Amino acid sequence: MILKKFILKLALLVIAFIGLYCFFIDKLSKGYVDEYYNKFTQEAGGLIIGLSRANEGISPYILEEELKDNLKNTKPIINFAINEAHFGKIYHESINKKMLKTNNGLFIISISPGNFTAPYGLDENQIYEFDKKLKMGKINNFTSSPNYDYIINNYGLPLYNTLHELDKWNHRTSHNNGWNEVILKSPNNTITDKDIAYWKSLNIKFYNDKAKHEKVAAYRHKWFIKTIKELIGKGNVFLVRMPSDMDILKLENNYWDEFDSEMDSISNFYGVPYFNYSNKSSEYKTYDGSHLESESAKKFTKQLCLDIKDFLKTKK
Amino acid sequence: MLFNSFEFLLFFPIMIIGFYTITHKYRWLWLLLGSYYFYMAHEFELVILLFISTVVDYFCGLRIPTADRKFKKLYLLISVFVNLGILFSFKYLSFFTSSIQGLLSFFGVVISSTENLGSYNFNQILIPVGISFYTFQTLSYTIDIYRGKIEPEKHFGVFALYVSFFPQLVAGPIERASRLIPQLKRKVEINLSNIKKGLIMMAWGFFLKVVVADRLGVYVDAAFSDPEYSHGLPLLIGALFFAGQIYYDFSAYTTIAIGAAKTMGVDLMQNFNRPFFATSISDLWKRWHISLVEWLRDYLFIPLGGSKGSKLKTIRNVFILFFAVGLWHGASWTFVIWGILNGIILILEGLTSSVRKHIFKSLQLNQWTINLLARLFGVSYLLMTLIFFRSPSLDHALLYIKQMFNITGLHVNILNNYFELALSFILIILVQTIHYFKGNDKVYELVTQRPKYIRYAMYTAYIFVIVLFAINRQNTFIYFQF
Repeated sequence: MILKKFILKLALLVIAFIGLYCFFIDKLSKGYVDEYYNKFTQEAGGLIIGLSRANEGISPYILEEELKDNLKNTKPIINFAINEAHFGKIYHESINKKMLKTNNGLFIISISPGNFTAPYGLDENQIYEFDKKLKMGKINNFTSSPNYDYIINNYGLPLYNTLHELDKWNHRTSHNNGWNEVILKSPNNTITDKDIAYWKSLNIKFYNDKAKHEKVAAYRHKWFIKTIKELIGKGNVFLVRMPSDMDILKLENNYWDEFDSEMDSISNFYGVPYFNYSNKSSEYKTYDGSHLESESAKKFTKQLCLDIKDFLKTKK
Repeated sequence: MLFNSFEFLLFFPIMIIGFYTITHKYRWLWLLLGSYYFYMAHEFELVILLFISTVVDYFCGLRIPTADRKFKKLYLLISVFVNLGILFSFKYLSFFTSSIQGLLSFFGVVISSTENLGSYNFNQILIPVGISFYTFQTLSYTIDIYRGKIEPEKHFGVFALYVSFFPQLVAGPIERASRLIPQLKRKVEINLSNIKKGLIMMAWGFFLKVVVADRLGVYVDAAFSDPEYSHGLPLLIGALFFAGQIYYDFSAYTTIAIGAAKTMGVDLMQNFNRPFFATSISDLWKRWHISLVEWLRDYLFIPLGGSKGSKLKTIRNVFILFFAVGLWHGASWTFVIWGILNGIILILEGLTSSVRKHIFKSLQLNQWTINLLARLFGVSYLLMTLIFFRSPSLDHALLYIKQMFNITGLHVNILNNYFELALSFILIILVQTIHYFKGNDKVYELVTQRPKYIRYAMYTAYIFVIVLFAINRQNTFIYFQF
């Protein structure tokens, strides 16, 4: 009898704990989770794939609008680029789970040397395990709304933050289609040239440190090719090297001087176009040396659309 | 499997229910299967090392008492060779090869591992979780049999359970066979009081881990990530928080382990005894990671002569002891330096004992003031040495220390979250206040001795605190890497 009472009390405590936890997770799902959450809440007809530059620099709205007459059934286009999404089995599988069944999708794959690196000394399995610990590796569900799988496994703040308005960076807007737009002028602040220069110096340091600790991995290259091959069967694939600050591009080119020629070869071999905008970087403005601010992102996406339209015309 | 994971939340009740449902005769099998599952859920393939270590020590242990003198030593050597061999191959080989390469390159001889050691990259070897713990635990078994202190365990299953008992398998405490095996064989009846005590200890351990240690870890990660770009107070707070993080993290694991074992009627040894209240560095080392220090004392320091020989010999032995403490923690010079710095201060503490007494006497300081000064010095020294423990390289540690003393302002917050910073300090004060009255091993008394309605209020508050204030990252325990 005493034992039964004890087990009952214990069960009540566990139920109370689980109930309270679920309540706050649900509450969180109804508000702002984080800047990446919207990338994981719906199925996609087209995807923007890549790292943080694509996350902030390519607008799905513009792609959908500008290409509506050229490409059918690609909606919704989701910006599925994320700063830790290097090419690999995890990202490949995530893309597959994210997509609607289609053979007419649109896939913008943003590439730079950074997409292909992994920490020194790791073999293929270890890189896979490394990726598994990142956002996409921790979840199985990429399309539900609300996405409890994402929240439980990736929300990094204590849950008391659901009880108040989160103090977000008010220069960034996380759109429902996954695009993270960064504006230079927010209602109460402006990103100055001094800020940009400082953040650029931090980014240069970051890239230098990355070059010391990471190397181009054959594993990433292998999965990049696998991803291209798979996506070719699902629609139109475009490889894009985005504009960035000249100093940062110089660093990247020093790190992998054959990058563009290798991508050209891959582009020719698989018949997917490679649009290289790195030599047009001076036409666009970044807010930190690496990532395009809103106006430049829109301008860049429009230019990309023009080039895609031209390509599709030629193809016909 | 992590203690702070949803899997453990399912695994543990199943283990307990199974344990008390199965008859005593087969409980060892249930716990053994559970323990291997617990390990394999984390590292599937590397469980083979645990098994090899178990098989070798079981057979060596059986043979030692009956063998003649020459063979006794041989069996002991086999056990030592296999266990330390596993430990060396998986934990230290990469460190030694890179150190030798570094030393040779200092003299102008450049050797690349791919040219001279085949194409294998030693950095690719994964360090099996808990390897330093279970190899030391099982080594003590064969050494104790060799010394005639214990009889070998004839039941292979019970012995395998001693090596792999899931609560303490991956991060200790490092138990001796003489303490643990009899408890594993003892018939345990359901004891609600013990189960309650164990569960409260586990709950306290979870609080220390997910609310306190992981919270401090967020600030620590930011402070240690790039000391070049910070200086002064943020780095000082980072170092202070790391001392807190490592203590609360490791003692949280131990408390959960002791609590989990207690629910099954097994009393594991205490591994921490309120180290921040130590009145000297030697006192601190009697309170910090007790099971490791006692292991090294019994199987390394005393066989070397301990403190019984000349002063010089004692200094040498203390130095070797702390070199081993450092090396045990990790295959890196930062850990070795951390160990050596602790050894040096202990040697200095011993050498200056009479001088200090004389100074305190001449200054007419009372005992309370002396203890306070000693505690402040002890914690400050611990904080400084732990910078080496946390840093990825010696250069990084030295830069951190240099930047930490470059105080030019009162900017303290590198996370731009003053609430979290304040909360971290409040939690440290709260836990230390609780520790002032009760150690982790007796913390249940703060709950069980209260009236019913206060207990229920405490349980409710606990649930809210864990749900709302836990850092939701499922971080591994720091000591898993050792």
